[in-house]
Amino acid sequence: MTAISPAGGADPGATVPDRPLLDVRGLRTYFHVMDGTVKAVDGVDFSIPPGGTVGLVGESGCGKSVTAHSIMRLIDIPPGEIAGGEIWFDGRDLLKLSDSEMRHVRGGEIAMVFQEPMTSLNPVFTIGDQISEAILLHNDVNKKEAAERAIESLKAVGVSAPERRVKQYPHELSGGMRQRAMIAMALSCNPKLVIADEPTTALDVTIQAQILELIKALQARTGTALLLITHDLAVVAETVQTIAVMYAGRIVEAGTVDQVLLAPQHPYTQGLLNSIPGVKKRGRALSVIKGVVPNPFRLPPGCKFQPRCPYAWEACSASEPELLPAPNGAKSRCYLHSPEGAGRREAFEKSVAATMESVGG
Amino acid sequence: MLRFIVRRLLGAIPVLLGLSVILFLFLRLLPGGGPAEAILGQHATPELVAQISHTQGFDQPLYVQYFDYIGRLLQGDFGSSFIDGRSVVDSFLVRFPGTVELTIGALIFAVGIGIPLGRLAARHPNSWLDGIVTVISLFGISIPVFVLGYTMAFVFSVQLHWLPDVGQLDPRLDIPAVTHFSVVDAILAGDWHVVDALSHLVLPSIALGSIPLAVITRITRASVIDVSNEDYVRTARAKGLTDRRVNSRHIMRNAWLPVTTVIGLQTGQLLAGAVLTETVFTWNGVGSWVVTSIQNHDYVVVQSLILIFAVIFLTVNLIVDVGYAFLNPRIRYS
Repeated sequence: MTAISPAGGADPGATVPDRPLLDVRGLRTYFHVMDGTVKAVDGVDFSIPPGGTVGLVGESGCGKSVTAHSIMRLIDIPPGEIAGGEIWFDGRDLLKLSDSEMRHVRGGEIAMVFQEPMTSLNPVFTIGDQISEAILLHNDVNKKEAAERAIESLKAVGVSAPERRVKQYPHELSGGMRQRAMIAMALSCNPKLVIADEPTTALDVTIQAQILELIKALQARTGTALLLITHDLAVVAETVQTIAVMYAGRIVEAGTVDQVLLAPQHPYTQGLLNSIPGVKKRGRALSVIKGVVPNPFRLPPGCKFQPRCPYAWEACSASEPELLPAPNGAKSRCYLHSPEGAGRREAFEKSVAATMESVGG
Repeated sequence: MLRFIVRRLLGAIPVLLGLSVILFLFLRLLPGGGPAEAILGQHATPELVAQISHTQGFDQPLYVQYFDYIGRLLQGDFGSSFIDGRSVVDSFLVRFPGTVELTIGALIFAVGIGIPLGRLAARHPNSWLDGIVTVISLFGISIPVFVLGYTMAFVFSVQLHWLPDVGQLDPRLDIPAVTHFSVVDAILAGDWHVVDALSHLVLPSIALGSIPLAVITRITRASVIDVSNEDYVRTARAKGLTDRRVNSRHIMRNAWLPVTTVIGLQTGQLLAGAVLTETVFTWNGVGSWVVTSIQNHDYVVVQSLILIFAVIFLTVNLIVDVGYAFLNPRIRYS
């Protein structure tokens, strides 16, 4: 996806201006289970520039969380296996680091915010304990300084009375408060990259908006890069600069927010946009993508979306398309953008126009 | 916390009252005539039955007998044995220390080995190591205590002469019984007699601890595996903590909760006396006392002991519940 090659890890501390902070290349993560091998992530490429924001979008089981866990090397091996690819972060291939080097990256340089704030915090330790644990680990501070920094980081995420909150246990806080505490924990060590895995999915709608605003504001203030993982297109639309859409372990479309959401180039992305309820669709049945997500043990031949795709023809099941440049500058893994697909492109574009009309822009 | 304890103590009163009614009726409703016949046996002369009925108050109306019984209980009078005439309380104070020592020994064995084994199995689930641990715990739970006890006694005392097979102390050492805790008495006697007391404890503790060992191992394994899959363990790893710290801090603090409950329940059971173990190793505890009392139709002793066991059980449970609050902040008894 990117032509810039990293500096080979010669000087890990230095930030080369035009080098991406995170560069995932050909990542393949498999799970070997009783019934066979699940290729949860199968050749994923994307990059994030320093301070950049990328949204990874797709439905459940498409491999977006596995991608995040692979970057953090939190995949349980076995049954998991990172079967191939490179994850360049700040001049180093994370997949080649030793366990102890990787521990410095985890929490210190890349921090993660998880989906379920209720279950992602340890119920038997206070909020303060859990935040200062990470601070103590990655910084040369004593317990008292760490405790003070924990209070500061809670203040930074808009938690009221942080001096009191640090002494409380997770069950004593509301869902939104807990997610703020999670974000405070992630940001407490000033990471270069924050991976937020469905950070708002488990929250009430009003709280969702607050948390998204908070993530955006903190990102802008600290200059931390952000990888936002979500199934919710509305969430990425408001928060990130570029989007990568995943389907069955692959990126099927990538581009800027405007490119992907205003002029989708892949039938799957169009299908996702089509299934968003809109004012103009009131009273009509919600459209859905026909068919089901393919069985991970028996993926279809060729393009993985082809059995559900209204535009598919023989070429689609014969071989899998590459991530090809689309007319609007985005990239799409679809033969519609190959010379052979030219004949069908008009029908697709008409249908996209109808979709955008019904979603309401 | 204090309010919780007081509330629990008040809650124990109806339990004990109910139990006292059942135990009281149990003696009066025994088959074969009245309570005096039950105690004296079928060959007793009518004169003797009448005499016992009168001295024990069995000829009074039931409610008078019951209030009389409760009145004596409240004064700490748990009655006396028909066999040797000693008061239940006196005999209990002589025998209970032996049971306590055996309980502590069995718990040290069961907890000291069960928890590390359970953690080991949980760290490599479904591996050959896990398989071995499963076999050990199934062995512990399925082998009868008397088979294990006699086998160990035969191997380690009769054949190898490594450890003594019966009793709590070598009678030749002539250690005076001060506290009736054999280990404490041996320490008081000096001369390293404590080694003899401890060596007597080894085999009975293993025999008695085999079932708790199996239970604790299984619960620890299940609990650690359960907690390992929790989201907060992933959070802890994402912070960059070492596996060691994630295990000892984030997993074990949570995994302890069900293990504590099981240890508490096992303790309550062990304190009620280990009938088989005490019999096999001729151990002078409450377990063997219950058996001889039942065999001798010494119903006053049996009746009082059951009530005392209930008190012990309630106390142990209360201690476990209070300990639970310290381990689990989600439980605050207020």
